[in-house]
Amino acid sequence: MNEEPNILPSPNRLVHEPARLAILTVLSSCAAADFVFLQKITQLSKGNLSVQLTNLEQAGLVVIRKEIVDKKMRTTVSLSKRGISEIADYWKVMDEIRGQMAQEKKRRSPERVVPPVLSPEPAR
Amino acid sequence: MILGVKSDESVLRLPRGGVHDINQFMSDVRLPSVVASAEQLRGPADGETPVDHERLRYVTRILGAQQGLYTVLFGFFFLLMELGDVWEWRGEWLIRLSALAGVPIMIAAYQRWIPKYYRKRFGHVEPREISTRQFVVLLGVIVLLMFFGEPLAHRVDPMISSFSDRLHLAISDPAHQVNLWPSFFWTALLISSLRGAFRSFEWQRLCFLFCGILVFTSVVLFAMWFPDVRQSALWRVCNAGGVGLTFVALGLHDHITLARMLPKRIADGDDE
Repeated sequence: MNEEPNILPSPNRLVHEPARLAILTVLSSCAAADFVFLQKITQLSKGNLSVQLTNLEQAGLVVIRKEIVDKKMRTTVSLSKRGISEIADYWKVMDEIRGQMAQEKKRRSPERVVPPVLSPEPAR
Repeated sequence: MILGVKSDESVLRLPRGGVHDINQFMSDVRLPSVVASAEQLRGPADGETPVDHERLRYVTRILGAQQGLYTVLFGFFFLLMELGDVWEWRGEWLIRLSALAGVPIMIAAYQRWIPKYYRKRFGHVEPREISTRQFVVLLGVIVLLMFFGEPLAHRVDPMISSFSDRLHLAISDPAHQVNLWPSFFWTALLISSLRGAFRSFEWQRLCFLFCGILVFTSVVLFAMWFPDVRQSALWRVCNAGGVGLTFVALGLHDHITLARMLPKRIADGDDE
């Protein structure tokens, strides 16, 4: 029997990558975060974090601000408007996927078998 | 029904089968896991280890809310305010000296030392501004209190006083010597923290809040069961400085939580 595939929504692969998703999740919980905090919380190396932030900036998801404070470079990152909507959409898609997978799992689990109630034997 | 996820190249189709195939599919698609262990959190977000997003948000919120050492400072400020009651057996000169020395130290700590330490140790997070809706609600509450606060206070105050009198009589404290506010405050904190399913870091906070209730309730109970304990210095400090000590304990807990969840130090110098 041919069955039509039920296509799940596809998450944004730019957002879906774990390192970028962690960065965007952190930024969605605050107005802005500096490079030091992002590095500590994601545990990425400086180079890797720089690369990921560059990718996100080029995609228009984050805004990077650099300033010199006390003779040290301070980098602050915040979500752009597009970034805010992309991360919100991403979590909606993931919730939808989880919901459909949960429904499919329920549908495929074996049905409960209710034992038959035996009627008493007639007295002899 | 066959489920599939549209990828860039083709539609992925599940093989026919049971739950095992669905689990395998979810693993293949590498959906981000919401639940991860502490070890997984400490690992880098390197594409192989699932990341606990609830923990990320939790840590970000704690740092952004400037809890931790700021709350400890707030607690010491309360203790300073209650210094007269806390150190009444030591003499007035010590109280005045403590107040004189304490205020500039606290200002320096708030403006310079703590922010500098936090930037170096944890980095910096700018908290979200309150939304328009939250601002309107806050403004509405303030306006209501301005117009209806006084008549409301006239109505509510006798009820609260009567309840307080009865409570103090129940614990054999007609003179209102025992401070009940810390116990109520910790209980309110615990109740407000009870919601839904809990993660491991939330369980730790609940245990901490429960311990706080035990400590400050025991201050009340000791005074009830052993009236002579009211003369002891330790009891007087815990009783009179209960609010300040509460904030100090809460701040230390938040700070230790932050330090545990962001364990690594990085070298000084440029941040890139």
